Order: sequence, then structure tokens, then C-alpha cells
Amino acid sequence: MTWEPGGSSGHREPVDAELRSLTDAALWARTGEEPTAFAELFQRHADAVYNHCFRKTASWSAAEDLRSVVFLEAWRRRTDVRLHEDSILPWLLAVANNVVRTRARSMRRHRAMLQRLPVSMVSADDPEAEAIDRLHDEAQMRRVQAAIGGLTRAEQDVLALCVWAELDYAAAAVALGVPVGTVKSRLSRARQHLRQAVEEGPPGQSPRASTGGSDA
Amino acid sequence: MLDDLQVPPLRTTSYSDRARQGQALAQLVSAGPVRRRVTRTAFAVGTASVLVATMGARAAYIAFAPVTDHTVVHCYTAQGTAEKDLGTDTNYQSGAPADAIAACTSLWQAGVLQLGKAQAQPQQGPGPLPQDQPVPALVACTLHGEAAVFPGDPLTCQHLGLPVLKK
Repeated sequence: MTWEPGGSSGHREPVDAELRSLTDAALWARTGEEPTAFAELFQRHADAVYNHCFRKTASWSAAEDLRSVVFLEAWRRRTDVRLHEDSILPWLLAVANNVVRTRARSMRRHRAMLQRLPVSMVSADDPEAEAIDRLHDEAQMRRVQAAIGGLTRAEQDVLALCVWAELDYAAAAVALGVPVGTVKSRLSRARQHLRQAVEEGPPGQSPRASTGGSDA
Repeated sequence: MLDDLQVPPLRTTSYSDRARQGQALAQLVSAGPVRRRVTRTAFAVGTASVLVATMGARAAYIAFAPVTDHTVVHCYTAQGTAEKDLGTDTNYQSGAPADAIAACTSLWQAGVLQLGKAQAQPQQGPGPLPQDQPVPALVACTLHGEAAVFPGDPLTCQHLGLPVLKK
């Protein structure tokens, strides 16, 4: 991560207008022959993946690397792609869940490619203030992660997709490869367990298993 | 209640940054994976290479090296290059050892970096950052072409197998 003067974050330079007009599904179909189609998909969804990875790791620095790994892993598993109403984002977030879960192995697998990528730039008028803000974010995210630490992994995944990434139930179902009813019941259980956690006191006093859990 | 869990606000990267990263990724995937085929011969050659490299490591050690990326410095809080030893990354411009050390020194003085603490510590509460927190002796090495500043003396770089940073 390095810094560049602020002010450029919203500017879109001229790119292939035809590619921009295509749906994710159409772009994905072209990625085999046309590398710019893959670049356009990255352009569209990089920030959503970046923020999702941050919420999973509480580290902006890790999220930057994982964002690239998610796209490399998506390409490696391209025959498994699942689209939701022509959007590839739910599947990318599902890939992100898996990449974060197997972080060390994923990073090892793609290390050589990661080293060939350009350094990521962050726009900031005041780099020092920006660095401090990022540290505050990370501390806050660690507190949130501690608060949800008693939920099962499946509940945490639904929480991250439906509440934080704002996917609807159907999109989350595609991402997780489960029926819509399961998404709803997991989210309902997550709410219930969080309520119980608040009533029973600070995390750690009433530990629950962090993985597993039965589905609806 | 779930909605009350305050996650930090979304962050976005610039269009130009996403374009650079996206194009680089697209080129990488279109070029195909780096295939690793380990044959008996390759294994033998590899083993011999490791032996030669191990025996010649002392002679091959590069004492000084400049950085190739003049914009980022890694500020470590322990004498190691593992993720747990990294305090934070920050920016500097010149590529000079003194500037790399100065960039990390300001974070030590502000209490953002603390010895042996893997994660940089955010400021507690409002108000200006302190400027009087203890700063250990620091040394600048070169790590993968980038500046890396460690607590320690100039021998620290050698102990870590890294060149000392030179302009």
C-alpha cells in the first residue's frame, strides 16, 4: 500500500464503452479470449470484495492482497461460477469467504502472481490522518468480530453477506450454495444468538462452538 | 440488533488504481498459471543448487542495496520479517535510509508503534497525537526492493539476511 494525492477516487477515465455496457455474465463469457473483460469485472467489483475481505480480517492491508487473491482464485475456479441475475458479485464474495478461511494456503498458492502486481495506491490528501483512520477502522472491526465470535461460521457468513454486503436473500443463497430458506433461518438464528449473548454478558462467559451448526 | 454492530464505513480505491490492478491481473490470468514440474533430474539439480547456495550463502550476502520502490516503508516492531513482526506500512518519498527511519520514527513517537506489538496501536480518544513516546534504535534494510525499518543496530539487517538500505 502506498499513497497518492487525493481527489481522483471518483473519476472514470475513458475505457471500452462496449465492455462497460455488458452484464457480468456477458463479460465473464468473454474473459477467455479478451483479458480486458476480466479487468472490467475487477473494476466493477474490486471495492466490494476489498471491503468484504476487510470485515473478515479486520486488516486493510490483508484485504488488499486478498482482493487480488479472490480474483485469481475466481479465475482458477472459473468452471464453478454461479451467477445471480447476471451478477457475479455473490459468487465472488463466496470465493472471498473461502479465500479468507484458507488464507495461508491461498496466499501461498498465488504468491508468485501477487509479487508481479503493481503496488496498490490509496488516494489521500493527508496520508498520516488516513493511516490513523485505517488503524481506528481495524480496531473497531476487531471489536465487532469479538462481538460476533460466538456465532457459528455459517451464521457469520450470512451476517457478512446479508447485513454488511447488503445482498438480498436470493443472492446470498447463490453465494453460499444453500436454499433461500436456509439463509433466512441462519440470519434469524444469528439475531437470536446475538440477543442471547447480550443478555448473558460479555463474550467468553457463555462460549458457543464457532463452527458447524445445523441448517434449516 | 445485527444492524447495531457498527462496522467501519466502506472504503473505495481510485478508478486508476483499480484499472492498473485489474489490467495486471487480466494479463496474469491470460498468460496462464506458472507450472511447476518436478522431475527426478530437476530435483537433483535443485538439491545441488540448495547445497551450493547454502555453502556460499555467506559470500553471496549482499551487504548494501538500494530500494526499487521509493514510496513505501515497512515499519517493523520486532527483529523478524513475519507478519506478526510488522507494525504498519507508511509512505515516504526519497528512498534515503534517513527518511525511511524518520517516517517510522514519527509513528514510534506517536505511540502508534510499540516494541513487539504486531498490530500498530490506534490513538486512544480524541486530541493530538503524542510526540514523546519512546523510540528504540532503528535500522533501515532492503526487503524485496522496499525499505524495511527494524528496531536494532546495523547488524540486524545481516542477522535477518537482508541488505542494509543505501540510497
